Amino acid sequence: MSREDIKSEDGRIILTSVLDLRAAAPLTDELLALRGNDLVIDASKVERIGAPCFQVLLSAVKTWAVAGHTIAIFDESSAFSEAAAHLGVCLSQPETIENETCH
Amino acid sequence: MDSMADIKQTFFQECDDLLGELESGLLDMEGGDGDSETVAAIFRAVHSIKGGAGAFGLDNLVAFAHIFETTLDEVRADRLEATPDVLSVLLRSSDVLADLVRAAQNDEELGEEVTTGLVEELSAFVGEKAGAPDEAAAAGGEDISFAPLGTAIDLDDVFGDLDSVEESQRFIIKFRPMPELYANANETVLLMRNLAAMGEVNVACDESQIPTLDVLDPEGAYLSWTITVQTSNSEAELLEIFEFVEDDCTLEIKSEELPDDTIEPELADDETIPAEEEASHTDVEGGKDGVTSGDNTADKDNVVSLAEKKEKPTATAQASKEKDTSDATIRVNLGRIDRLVNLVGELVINQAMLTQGVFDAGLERGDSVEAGLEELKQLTREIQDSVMAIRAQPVKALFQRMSRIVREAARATEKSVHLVMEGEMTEVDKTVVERLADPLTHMIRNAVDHGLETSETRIANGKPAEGTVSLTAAHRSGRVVIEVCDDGAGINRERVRSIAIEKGLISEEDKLSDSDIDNLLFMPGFSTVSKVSNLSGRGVGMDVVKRAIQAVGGKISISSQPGKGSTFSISLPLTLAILDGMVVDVAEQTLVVPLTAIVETLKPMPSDIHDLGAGAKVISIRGEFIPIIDAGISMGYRTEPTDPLTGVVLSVETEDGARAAVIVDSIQDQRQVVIKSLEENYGHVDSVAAATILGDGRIALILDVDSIIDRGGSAVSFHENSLAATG
Amino acid sequence: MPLSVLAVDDSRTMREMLRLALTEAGFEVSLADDGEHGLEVLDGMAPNVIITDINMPIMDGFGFIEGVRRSAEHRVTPILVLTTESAPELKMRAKNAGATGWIVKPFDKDKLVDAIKRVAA
Repeated sequence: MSREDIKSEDGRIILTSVLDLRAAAPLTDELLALRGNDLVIDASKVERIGAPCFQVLLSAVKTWAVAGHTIAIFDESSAFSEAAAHLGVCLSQPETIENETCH
Repeated sequence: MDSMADIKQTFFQECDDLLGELESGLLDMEGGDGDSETVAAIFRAVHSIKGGAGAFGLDNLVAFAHIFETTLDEVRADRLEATPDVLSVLLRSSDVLADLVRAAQNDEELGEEVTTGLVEELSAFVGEKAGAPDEAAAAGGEDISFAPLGTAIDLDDVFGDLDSVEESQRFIIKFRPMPELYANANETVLLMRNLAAMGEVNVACDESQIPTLDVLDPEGAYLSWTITVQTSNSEAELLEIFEFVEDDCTLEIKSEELPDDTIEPELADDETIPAEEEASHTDVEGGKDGVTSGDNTADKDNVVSLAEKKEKPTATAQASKEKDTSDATIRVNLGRIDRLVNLVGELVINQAMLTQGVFDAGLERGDSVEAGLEELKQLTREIQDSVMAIRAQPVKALFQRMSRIVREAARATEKSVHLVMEGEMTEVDKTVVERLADPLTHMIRNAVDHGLETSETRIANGKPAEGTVSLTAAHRSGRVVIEVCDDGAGINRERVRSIAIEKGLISEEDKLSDSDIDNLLFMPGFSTVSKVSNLSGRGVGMDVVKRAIQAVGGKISISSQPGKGSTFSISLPLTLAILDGMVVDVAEQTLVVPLTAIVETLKPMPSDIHDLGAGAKVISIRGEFIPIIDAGISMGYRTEPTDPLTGVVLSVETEDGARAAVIVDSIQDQRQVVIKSLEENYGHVDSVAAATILGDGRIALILDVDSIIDRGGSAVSFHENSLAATG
Repeated sequence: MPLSVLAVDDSRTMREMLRLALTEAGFEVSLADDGEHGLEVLDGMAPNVIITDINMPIMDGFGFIEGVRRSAEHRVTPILVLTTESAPELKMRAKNAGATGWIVKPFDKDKLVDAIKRVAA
């Protein structure tokens, strides 16, 4: 996904730089507050992210899919991509599973 | 601190502190003052020594500290009562531990016999729990739930040769974290990164357990993984990555492509953790909730200590504050302090010279310069006192060493002895403290060996069976007084007298006062014991003790009451760097006579002087005849004696009570002088103790009173005269 | 940026050894004398890893670990326990208090450095 695809009415959050265990609960709350709209997540600032925050993001993707909305993560920092690769997690929604970010 | 050698120095310094804490703690317990914190501190002391010793490969020390520590742990856990018997063994163990530390410091090996007996006694207290440290470590390593690593490594070592190192293997790892893994700051991403560093990794993440956001526990654990690793690393090395998280996850490692003859299948079974999961999980719950799980004593301890901690947070805060203010210390190289002491000495001299110079320049009285100088003098004095205080050390460490001497002496003589210490915090110059160790040791041994009676004799005389030796320190009029006191039989003056006659120290006709007889003990070559006991026969007499004490500017005296005991009293200067002296003129030279040696000064009347012929004169002071010594002749300033009537007589007394009348031309002043040793530059000079620099910049020699009395006449015959005169 | 490590140990010897080993390994080292001191030192810094002894006066390692885990700022900082105690129940207690890992003294320098790198985020 790229910036051009973002629609103006989408909810939008910017992930903070350190997404360790402490960040998991605030992130969950932040995401819960944005339910009901398509959502774009800016991952460009992420310097560190652990498994718990990936769980939150994965849960969000699942939650949005159930509600018929989409979540798009864009501008992944290298730290973000690297951690995702180490964990083998795929953050694309089921519909876009063929997308090249996951395989 | 930049090398292991420096750190080893630190270790031995720290050991000194720890050994001190250990002994004082044990003594507190012996005195009934020990609480649980005392026991904990004792345990920590031994524990820290063991830890450091391990780091430096001091195996003997580690081995003994381990069994010692194990016993202390029993006491700490209230499984072993600190009875007098137990404490006695613990105290002796602390002595041996100190010996082992000392030996290690000197790169010596002590024979096994030093520890064998105690190790048996200690082992008896702890039953089967004792064992060599490596056994204990092995026992820990065998604990499957926490560290299967030990076993795995061993197997790898044993079978490592079978597999070539380069040969790549494929492992399949199933890994499911529990929330505790994340709560304890472990992180799957890091585990995966470490795995990836080992070879080719394929990660499959199971996301199926992830719930929707509204029911998600943000700090829960929902993901699990199946990882395939193609690596030349061993299984043990793979396991090592998971070392810290074993209890907080389910982990299964399977090896593919196994050679048929390996024991791998068995291993795989062993290392499939899920079987243990139930048990370890229960433990975790038990600990966290504070629910004691019956047989798990560790959990009980946990709950208790947590409860205690919560009850007294203010107490610990208080303790830490006190620690901050009173215990904060910094270690300074002694050389630097000595340099500071020297500089301050120079400052004192310079200040005196400045004052003199200003007044010589003809300054008006009441000038503001005078007030400024007075302030400078005050400040200089304060700096001097503060610098001296840096060198001052409490005698506590010295006293603690003595408690060991008492124990050893008591054992050797089979006497029952109780040591009482008072004034341990009294401070004395570091050098004085160090040089007191030997004389004090001897005095303590004497008190136990010669002073105290056997228990039977004591009981027969209506005394408690246990003898008491007390060791006290106190400040008394600018000096430090240390007393060794026993409640024994007192000095047997009849015997002392007859021995002295037998040894030719006195003649039978000599009439001696009680105190004269007591002082015979300090004469060279005197020894009261007719039979050589275990303790005596070390070749050290009280004369050596006396000389050692005099060498640090001290005096020793004795008092004794038959049947009640004896007291040896050492009086010491607070510092070795400054002396109260009387500044006198002799043949146009300036000399300083130590004030401590001067009994009185007087202008003699012609009737006081008696000529004994051959140039020998005595002076009669209140009926006592005291030999006259001309300081000018003693110092070689003149050859013809001056007329005593034109000079001033300083009645002086040496540490051993010998007296003389030293004639000087006039007295200038009485003041504190900074001692400058001559021996460093000139070697020992007879009749001269040291030198100092006066306010006008002139150098003045400090008179060695003992030496000039020795040289002023035959010391022994003089001594007899003196005794006869006073008797 | 070098990894920063806070090491808490009541033994001066051990502190000096840790300082030497960790500085040589390129870490930035802070030291504290006991658990309570450790919590004080921790206030105002954010080490990547904490190393602590267990047996200490005033506040022991268990108390210290619990204290760190209670603090909002440091509750996810990895804590390695470094002690001579190898008894499993003590390890379990440290784990329950929140310890990340466990290293038995006398420590092997390389292993220690390795362990720090392993847990440092």
